[in-house]
Amino acid sequence: MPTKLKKPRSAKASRGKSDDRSALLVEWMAMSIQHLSQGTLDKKSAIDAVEELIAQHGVTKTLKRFQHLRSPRKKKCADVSLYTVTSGVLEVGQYGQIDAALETQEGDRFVVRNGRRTNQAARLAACDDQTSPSDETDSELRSDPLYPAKLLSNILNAGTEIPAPSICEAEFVRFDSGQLAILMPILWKYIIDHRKSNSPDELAAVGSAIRKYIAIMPMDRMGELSVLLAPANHEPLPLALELEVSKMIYRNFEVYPPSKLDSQPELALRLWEMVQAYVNPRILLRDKHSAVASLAIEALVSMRSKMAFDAWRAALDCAYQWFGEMVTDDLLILQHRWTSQDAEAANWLNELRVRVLRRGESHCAQ
Amino acid sequence: VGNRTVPSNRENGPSVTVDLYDVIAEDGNAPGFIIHTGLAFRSGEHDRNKVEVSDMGPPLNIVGAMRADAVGKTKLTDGEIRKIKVFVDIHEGEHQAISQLTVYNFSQVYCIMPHATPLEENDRRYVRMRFSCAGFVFEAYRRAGITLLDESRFPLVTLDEIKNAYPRHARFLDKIKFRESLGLAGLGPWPVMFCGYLINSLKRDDPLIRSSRHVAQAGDKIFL
Repeated sequence: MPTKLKKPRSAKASRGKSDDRSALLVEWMAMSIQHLSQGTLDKKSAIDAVEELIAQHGVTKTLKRFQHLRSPRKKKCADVSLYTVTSGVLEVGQYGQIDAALETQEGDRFVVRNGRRTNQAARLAACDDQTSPSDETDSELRSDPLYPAKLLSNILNAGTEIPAPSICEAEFVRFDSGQLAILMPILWKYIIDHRKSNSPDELAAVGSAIRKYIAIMPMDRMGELSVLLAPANHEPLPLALELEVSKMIYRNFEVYPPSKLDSQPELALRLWEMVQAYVNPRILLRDKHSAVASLAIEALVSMRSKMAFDAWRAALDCAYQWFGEMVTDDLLILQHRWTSQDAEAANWLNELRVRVLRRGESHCAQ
Repeated sequence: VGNRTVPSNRENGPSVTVDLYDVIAEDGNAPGFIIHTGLAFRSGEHDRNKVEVSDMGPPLNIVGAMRADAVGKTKLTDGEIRKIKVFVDIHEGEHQAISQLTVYNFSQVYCIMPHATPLEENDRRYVRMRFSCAGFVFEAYRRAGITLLDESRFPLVTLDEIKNAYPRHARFLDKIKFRESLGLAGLGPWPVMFCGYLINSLKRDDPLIRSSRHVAQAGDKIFL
C-alpha cells in the first residue's frame, strides 16, 4: 500500500495548497536545501524554512527563488546534470522503495521505479569512488571524546521536537553511565510519543529508540516493557515495532540468563497474547508475523516464563513445519550460549527442550 | 527438496532469470573476481545490470540493485524461503535507521572478520548485527538450515587481496585503525569470508549443498 508524504506542518503554509503536490514540493525543496547546506541543516529546520518562505511569498514566488539556488558541485560529480522539479507524484512502498513521476522546469518528465532514499554520505560516496562515509566519521566524530556529550546536549536542547536522525544517531554511541541515566527517559518519551506516527522516518527512529532503550535499561526493570505491548483499549504497536521489542527482550536475556523462573509475568503475558494471535495459520505468513511470532516465543523461553513450554509447543503444533524447526534451531543456539554463561539456566532450557519434543512424540504416537 | 542439479552459472546476456533468494554475484575489476553478493529479491526476469536484491551495502538494502555476473542456485523449499524471509525481516529495522544519518561509522554497520558480529554496548548487550556482504548471504542461508561453507577453514588472505575485494575502501584499508574496526587486527594474513566462496559452494550438486559444507580454496575467490 503506497504511503503519502506527510503534509506541511504549518497550517499557514498549507492553506489552500495542502494537496500532495505541495507536500512533495516542500519535501523536495527541503531535501535540496539540506544538500546545499552540506548536512549542517537538519530535515525539520529545512522544512520549516521552506514552509515559512511559502507562507511569506506563496508557492510560485518561493519556487522561483528556489530555482536560483545552485548546488556546490564536486569536480567528480560535474557530469551529473541537475534539474529543477516543478511538479510530480511520489509513492513510498512497503519496503521503502520510491516510485515517482516528476516534471522539470525544462519540460522533461522522469519516472523513477524502485528508487531508494539516500543520504549525503551515500551520495558523495556514489559520486567519488575514493570517498568513504567512514573516513569523515571516524576522524571527525568518533575520535572526539566529547561527541556523546554533544549529541546528548543537542537532544536535550531539541525539547519535544527531537529530530529523528538524532535518535538514530544515539543508537550508535556509547554513553557513560551518567549520560545513560539522562538518555533513558528521553528515549522512553520519544517511543511513547511517536509510536503511532505515520511517518516512516519517525517509525524507524522509534525502532532505533526501542533497541537502544532496551539494550541500556536495567534488567530488573524489563517488566516495564509490557506497557509497549499492552492490548485492551490501546491501539496495538505497529508490527515492525513489536518485532523490535520482542527481539530486544530475547537479546537481553540471551546475555543475562534470568536466575529466577517467571520473573516478569506481566511482560510474559503480553508476549503470549502475541504468540496466540500470530501463530494462527491465516496470519502467520502475512507481512512480518512469522518473524514477530518466532521472536515472541523465543523471548518467552529466554525469560524462563511459565508459558515457555506452551509457546514452544505452539510453534511445533502450528500448521507450518518450517516454523517449528526454525524456533527449535534458534533455541538450541540459545542453549549453547547459556552453557558458557549460566549452567543452571542452560540445564533448564535443555530439560524444557526434552519435555517439549517428548510431548510432540507422544502426540504422534497417539 | 528438488533432485535436479542447478549449479552456479556465469551470466553475460542483457537479462537474467532468477528465483527468489538465489545468490547474485558481481565481479570487481578483474573478470571473475567476485566482490559483492546479495539475495535475489524477486523471482523472474531482471535487467542483468540491475537485478533487484536484498544486500548488505551497507546499510542493508531490502530492495537494492546490483549487476549479476554470476548466479548461484539451489532449489529452495518453501520452508527454506520462509526462514530466509524471517532472517531478512528481523534485521531490516536495524538498518532502516542508518538511512536517516548523514554520516555514520562504517564499522558500526559493517564488518569483514568475522563475517557477522553484534554491535555491543559496554555490558555486551547489543542493538544490532553487523554483516559483511558475504556474511549476510551466508547467515541467511544458514538460518534456512543450509550452511554453505566450513567457517573454520577459510584460506588466509593478504591485505592486497582484501583491497581487491573492497576497491572503494582500498586506501582506507591501509589505516590500521580502520582495519581493526572491521575485525582485521595486525598485519595479516586473515581467514576472511570472500564472496566467491559462496558462489563456488553453490556450484556443487544440490544434495551435496545441504549435506556438506564447502571447504573454500584460495582459488574460490574467482568464479569463471
